[in-house]
Amino acid sequence: MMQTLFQEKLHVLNVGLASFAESIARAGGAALQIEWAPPAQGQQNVARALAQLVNLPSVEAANRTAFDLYQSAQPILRDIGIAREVLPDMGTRMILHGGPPIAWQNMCGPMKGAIIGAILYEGWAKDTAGAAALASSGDIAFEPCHHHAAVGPMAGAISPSMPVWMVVDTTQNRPSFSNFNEGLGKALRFGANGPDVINRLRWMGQTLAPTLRAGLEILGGIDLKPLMAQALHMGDEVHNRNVAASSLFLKRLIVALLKTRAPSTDIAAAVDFVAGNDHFFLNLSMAACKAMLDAAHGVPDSSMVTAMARNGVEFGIRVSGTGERWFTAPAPIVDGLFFPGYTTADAAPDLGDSAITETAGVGGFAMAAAPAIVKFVGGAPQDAIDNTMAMTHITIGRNEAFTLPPMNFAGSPAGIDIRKVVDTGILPIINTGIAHREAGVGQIGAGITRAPLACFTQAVSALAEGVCGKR
Amino acid sequence: MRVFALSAGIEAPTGRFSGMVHSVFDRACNIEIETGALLTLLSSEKPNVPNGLRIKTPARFTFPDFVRVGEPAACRGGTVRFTQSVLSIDLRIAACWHIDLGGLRIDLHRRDQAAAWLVAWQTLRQHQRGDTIPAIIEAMARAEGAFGTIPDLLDATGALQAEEACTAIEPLIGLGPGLTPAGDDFLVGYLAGLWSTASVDTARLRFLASVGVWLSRAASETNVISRAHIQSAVRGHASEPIARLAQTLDRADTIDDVRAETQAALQVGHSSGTDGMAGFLFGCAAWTKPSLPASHCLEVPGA
Amino acid sequence: MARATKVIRNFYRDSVSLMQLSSTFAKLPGVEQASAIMASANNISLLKEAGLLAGTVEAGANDLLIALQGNAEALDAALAAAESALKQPAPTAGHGTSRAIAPRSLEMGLGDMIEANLALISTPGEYAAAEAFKAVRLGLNVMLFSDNVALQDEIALKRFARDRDLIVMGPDCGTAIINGIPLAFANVVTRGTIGVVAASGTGLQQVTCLIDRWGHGISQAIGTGSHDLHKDVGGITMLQSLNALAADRSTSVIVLISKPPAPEVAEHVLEAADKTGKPVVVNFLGADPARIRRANVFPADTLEDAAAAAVALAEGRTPDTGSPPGSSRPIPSTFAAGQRYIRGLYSGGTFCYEASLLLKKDLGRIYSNTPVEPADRLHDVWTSREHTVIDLGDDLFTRGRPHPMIDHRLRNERILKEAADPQVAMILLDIVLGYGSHPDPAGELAPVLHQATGSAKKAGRQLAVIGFVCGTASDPQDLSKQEDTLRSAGMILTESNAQAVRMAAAAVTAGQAGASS
Repeated sequence: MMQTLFQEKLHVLNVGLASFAESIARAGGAALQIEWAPPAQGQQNVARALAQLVNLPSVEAANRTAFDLYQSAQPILRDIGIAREVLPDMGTRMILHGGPPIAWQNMCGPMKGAIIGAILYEGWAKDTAGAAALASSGDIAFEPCHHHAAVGPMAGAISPSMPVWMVVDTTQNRPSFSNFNEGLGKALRFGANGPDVINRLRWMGQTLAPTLRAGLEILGGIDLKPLMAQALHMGDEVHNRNVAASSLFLKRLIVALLKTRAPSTDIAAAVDFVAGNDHFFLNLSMAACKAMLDAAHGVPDSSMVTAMARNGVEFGIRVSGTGERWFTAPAPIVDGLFFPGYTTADAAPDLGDSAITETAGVGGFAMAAAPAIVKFVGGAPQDAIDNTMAMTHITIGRNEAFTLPPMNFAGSPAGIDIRKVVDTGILPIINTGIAHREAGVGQIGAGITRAPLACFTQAVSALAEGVCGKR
Repeated sequence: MRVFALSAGIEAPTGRFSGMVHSVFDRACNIEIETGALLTLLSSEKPNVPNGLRIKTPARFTFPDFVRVGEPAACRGGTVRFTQSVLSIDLRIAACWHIDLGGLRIDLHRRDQAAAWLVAWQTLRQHQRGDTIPAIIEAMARAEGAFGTIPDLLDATGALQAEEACTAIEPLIGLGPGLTPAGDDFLVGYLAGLWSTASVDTARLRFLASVGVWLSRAASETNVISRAHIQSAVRGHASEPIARLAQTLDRADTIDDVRAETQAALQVGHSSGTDGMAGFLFGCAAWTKPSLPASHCLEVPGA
Repeated sequence: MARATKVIRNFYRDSVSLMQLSSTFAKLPGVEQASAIMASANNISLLKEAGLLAGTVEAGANDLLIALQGNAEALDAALAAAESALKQPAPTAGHGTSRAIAPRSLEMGLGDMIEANLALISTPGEYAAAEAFKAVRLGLNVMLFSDNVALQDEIALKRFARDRDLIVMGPDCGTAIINGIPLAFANVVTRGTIGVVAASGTGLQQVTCLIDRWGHGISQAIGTGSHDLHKDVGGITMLQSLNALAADRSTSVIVLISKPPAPEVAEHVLEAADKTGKPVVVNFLGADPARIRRANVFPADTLEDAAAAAVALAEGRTPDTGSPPGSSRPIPSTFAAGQRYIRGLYSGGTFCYEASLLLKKDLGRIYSNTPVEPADRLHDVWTSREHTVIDLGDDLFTRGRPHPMIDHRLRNERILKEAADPQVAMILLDIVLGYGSHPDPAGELAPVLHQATGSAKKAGRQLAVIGFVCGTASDPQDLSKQEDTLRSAGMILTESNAQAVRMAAAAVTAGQAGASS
């Protein structure tokens, strides 16, 4: 009531002309200037939709529910399977890809290369020309990994006979999947599809997967969250830096592998392969994040982001309270550090499902834990802390399982709130690798990018329609 | 981190307020509001209090991790925020918690209610330890000492002599060990007992009003937290364990139910539960001596 | 046997901890008895009786008292141990994380200023409603300086806020003084017992400044925005303000200012005013006083009358209904033949409108861009005809340039243009001080006045420039300094707009100007 206002000391939040705040301060009042800019880059209808959602009890309560579900997920690496046997609704002539849905003719170079490689791997065509013809014939179904409870970095190609990690959220007994990491250099995920790439994939399917599976069987599963938490304390952010996590993973596995009946040459080859790839854990980190976010998906009215993914053309997000819909915008070009000989002009737009890590509060959001990453993506260690701090303003809470040593062991900011992104204009930060725009060249750099605002403004409008329309 | 209030006591401010964190405990936190009122935040496993908000706290949550004594706190738009803390508390979906003691009709002339009262009394006696009010009363009733005034209080109450009652209450205020001193806990329970048995008897209600006016002022002799409890009790509100026990006696529930509620009330604090319970049971018996089978010999001091 | 005590102020630990402390202390070597207890008067006497305490202790019911008995050497160590046991652990992860980023949204701002109680919004109009809705959703009162908010948004917003016991001042609310703090375009006035509610920004400034000038003060000055008394809005803000001031103990007299509201709204407002139990002065510019008067409601013709009536009522007098205060002096000018017209060049819209109303009574037709009678609309606003008053704050003039209270160039040009017109005898001006206005309006105006009067003199005419300064001694521009500068530039100054206008009108009716026609 106004009378209460009359009894209080006046405290003003000033939106607009800064001189008003100065005058209030000079007159002895308290004023705080808001660094205001038109929300949603001036789209009035979005600003209005947002105004309907701010501090709305049903949304706040839904977000608490979604966040608790996210936080209570317990992703365990249980097994290794074959895609067509374990992925939900995986067709026999289907290839999954990273990011939101996209038709063959619109795919970027690296993704097309990866699809061709996957066709060759499956033996559906004899050569790349035949594979390309088959891909454009409409005979093969292309669907996002996300539509099949899966995630894959970069091109994210998963074809029916590929081996996949099987992660289970034991809280909700819900599975999630990811493919295997092939290492750096020429790799399918960057669109390379030469004989060496296909041969390595075959070896991974025939030797690596069964060997690791035997080891996993002896272990009975690996609890992924504690492992990720430990890696965060060892300088990883488990997106672009997985050195510690990969080592911890191998350490857990190696004794079990030795207890298996696998031929020692296979064990040696498997250990050699895993030990030689500092990114080996990335796909597991992604599958764990997918499990946590799927747990939070589908809470009516919730404004929490449950997926961010890119297909090299478009960047897409999904929101807990808006169902299966993707909100997309053109994928940004990543600003970063390039390997010698490459420039921005060589870069493919942002690509892959790996932004699931940021969606789950690690990766760029946990950058404070990984000061070493700034050497890779540019900037100073303080930038890493600042980036994490900035994310606290657009997130619902802190993940108490992922604590950050440089921030007094505060939990990592998690649960991106589309309302806060649009209201503050602070965009989610993503640490990512950069692929060459042409198929098969591989990674040419790494850097930091931001999720495009347009995804969030569309989501805000849709959520407002859903939340306020039903009243 | 936004958490939600599960329930709000009848006297808890839920509108706009500004204040300051007054004291912080593992599972409770007090905010002193600008109006002078005290708002108590409680973690979800704690029982309701009239001036409290019970909060759906996450696992392993403790208040000292989040808030600091002296930190400003304010409620705007149904949400309590703190200057430094990441914690915010949404009050908008909290249910109102209230048990109207004045609406109860405990009358120990009724055999069923008297039997329920006796079960509670015996449970209390079995529970008591050396440092609790009933024990102290027994020791002090014989010796000289502050708690020796309790028989006087019972007499004055029975005779509806407000002034004498206040004289007997005065030495109890702020007396004894504990954050909420034992004497205060006893008084809070005692008032709850009186409210539960006053019914619509105008003489009793007048007595309660007179004692209440005096006690609201006299409560400044004890600490802010204890004072808030006394002031709520003066207005006929008690914490959930006492209020639920009062309901149980009012309904003359089964022995097991009465025993369970009594045990629950006894668990509060270190000795506050025992002291409050003693006060409550004395309060219930102040105007109406329990009508009981002759085999039960009661040791109500002053009775 | 020695005794030692330690008092820890405002210290609260749960009873279990206190018990543990007592027993921990009692177990320390050389300690015989120990107690950690809240230091109420009753407990202190208890400890004295128990022999644990000697002499007086400076402690109150909210303090923790540690009393020890034992051998002297042991007690010092025990007290030190006690102190360290009592150290409150520092909050951990959930507390004190830096908030390095400046707030980008109202919600973020509320995180930094948790006790915020008002959002002052001056964004472009098309975003203002959304920001205001957010503010109300967050539990904040709103002052909406922005204009160009759709009427249906204003209605929805005001109802939404009213349902939440919050107020929306505006849209198009240029000024307010809440709890003594001037907001947006407002003057620094003394605090006092008169509460003002105004739909007009300059109206509010004039009334509050005159009250200040006459030695009284303002409790609250609330702007409602210029559309509040529209029939579809229904005066929501004015009614809320009236109720709030009625309940406010610091307010003894209430003043309402507006252009005439829609009749049904006026009725509603006046009824509410009559029920406040406090005297209410009402200035509905140009309205019939007979329709306003109620037992507790006093009509006032002009802003100055409203201020005077409020001051009278605050002093316990009945307001004068007769002639206004401040006798109208004759103009010390001798006009040339043919000098017959008045030109008012106003930066404040309400001053312009009030001038039209007052001049019309005596002089008939008054042309304006904001005329009282639609027929008197000035078709070419850039060129005056006969008696003309111009509101230079009109959208027509402010498009693409700052308001004339901030930027004097447009008015200065117009002054020179009017001065060159041989038919012009008098120019009426307002000079508005306060936060938000130009830092030195007199300094901007003085050279132009010299030039204007000088060129008229060369042409054999005497030009009178009449006006008033709306401001206070405490305003950043300093009222007396501004007045001195203007007087030295030859300007004739009155206390108020009404006085200036009446002076000019009198000169015409007395035949001082336009005598030869």
